[in-house]
Amino acid sequence: MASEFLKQKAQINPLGIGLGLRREMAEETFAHSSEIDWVEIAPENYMDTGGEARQRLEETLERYPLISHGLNLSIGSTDELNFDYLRCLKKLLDEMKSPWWSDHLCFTSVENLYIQDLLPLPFSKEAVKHIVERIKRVQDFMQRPFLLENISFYMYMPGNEMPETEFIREIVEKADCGLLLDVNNVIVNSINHKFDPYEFVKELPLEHVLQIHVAGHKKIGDYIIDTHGAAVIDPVFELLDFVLQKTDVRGIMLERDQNFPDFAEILQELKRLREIAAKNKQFQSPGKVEMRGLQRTNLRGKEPSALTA
Amino acid sequence: MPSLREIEKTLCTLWMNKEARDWLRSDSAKKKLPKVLSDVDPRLLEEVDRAGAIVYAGSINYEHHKMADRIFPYCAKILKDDWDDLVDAYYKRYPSSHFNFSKICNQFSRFLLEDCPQLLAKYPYLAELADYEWLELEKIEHEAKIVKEDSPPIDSLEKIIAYYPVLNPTLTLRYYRYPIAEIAEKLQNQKRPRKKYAESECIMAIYRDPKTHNARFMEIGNAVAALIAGAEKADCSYQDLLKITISKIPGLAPEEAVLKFLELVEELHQDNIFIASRQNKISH
Repeated sequence: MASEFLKQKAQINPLGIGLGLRREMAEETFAHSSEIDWVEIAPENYMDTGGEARQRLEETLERYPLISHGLNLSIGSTDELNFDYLRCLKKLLDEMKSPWWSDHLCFTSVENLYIQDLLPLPFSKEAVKHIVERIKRVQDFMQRPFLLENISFYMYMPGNEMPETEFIREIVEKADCGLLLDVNNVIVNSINHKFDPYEFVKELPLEHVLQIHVAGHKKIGDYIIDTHGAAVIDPVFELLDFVLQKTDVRGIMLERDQNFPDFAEILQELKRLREIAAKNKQFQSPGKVEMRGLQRTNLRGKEPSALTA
Repeated sequence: MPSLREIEKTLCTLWMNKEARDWLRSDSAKKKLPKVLSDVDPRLLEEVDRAGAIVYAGSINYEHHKMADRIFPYCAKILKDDWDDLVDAYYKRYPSSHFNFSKICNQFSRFLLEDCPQLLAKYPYLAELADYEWLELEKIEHEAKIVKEDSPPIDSLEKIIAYYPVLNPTLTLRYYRYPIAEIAEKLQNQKRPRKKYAESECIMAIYRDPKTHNARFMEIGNAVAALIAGAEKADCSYQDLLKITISKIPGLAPEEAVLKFLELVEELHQDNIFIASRQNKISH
């Protein structure tokens, strides 16, 4: 059966190079709209929230296309789906006119208690079946292209029956959703669990990748931890380059959540992402149908073809 | 093969439960299995990557404590070395049931009141101080939009009759039994509060400022509190509020009372407790 998601992907206009919106960097993010094409938010920080956060959201919407990257969908949890959460998120996505949305391939809650961390899943047939069924229900409810992100993890869970790449492929293809490929997470996991990151990405369903995350990490004790609090290292940029040779994407985003540097460093990293995207001829051909929300790119005087300039 | 649910539940217990975490960090061959893990399939426990599980346990515990430290810096200062154990006990009693992480501490004041009698015997004001600290975050995140409207100044008897005030929608009135404003001020200025405080009512209007988006804490007197409480009722006009003010400040001549009332109303507007004045329906 033809993939509905891949048809949708073909219709989505490229957004270009984005940055995660953080309170600490918001002012500078707003001031550099010529160097940032779009921004991503963690929706939990803005759902049913007023005050400064609400104002920041409104100011962002005036300047940028906005994508939601959630933390607490808890797609792998054996709890019931939280429809209060989904209703609240849907309302926000409608307001943001987000062309797609994403969350993590993990669980964050057990017995209706939120653990507030992205927790790994066993790579098992039961988990695949369970998650595929939940993604389908979520997609039916949200009516907007959905991507799952590969997480960084620090332990393999009991009950593994297949490699992570097969686990991801099975879920993404059977649920017919998109993949948000975090290349930093691949590098972090490849160091902690000793595998070849290039072989890993080759085994992924790369045609389903719509967005890519790039970030920095840090060695703490015996582990490399995905902190989003350091400069992006060359192997991450190089893996991004490798992936972009194999597939076309609609957005690449830099995550920086702590240990904020001078904004010039952020701009330099964004510039490097743009160069890698340009080298691989990304973001050059607009999709066939203008999706809601993408008009904002044009309002800012940027045609998609200019994004690689 | 354990089910997905069994795996998730077991790992969460290992990460979140203090006894289970201690067992995880210990030489398990020597240490007795804690009760919370007694029903778990031993083969599942054997399969757990202990080093990795310890990383998660440490990270989750660190983030939970960081959140409590951020919301309750004054309580933490008072309790010093006892703070971390109290936070652990709180999370055990009230684990996070909301997808918004910052809401995890919304029962902390209640927990102190209901579950910590010994602590309250030593620090009777602690639950109120926790409530005060929690309200700061609650007001900052309050979902209401505060829309200041262009309104005429309330400066005459005609306007007192024709208009009613619109309250800041984030406003909460608190009648604390202890001098929380004084205690909080001391802690803010890096001073240690006194060992004992006698009961002494402290009324506070707590709300979000529409310009700065910060929480504001205003200590107010009985008359102002009565006036604000009156304004919280639907269809309460300035005329009704004037009556309340007169009843709360007895002995004032009528003209003096009106002037005092107008002064109060102006201050409440300046401080963004009242955010507008609208005409009474009846006088349209």
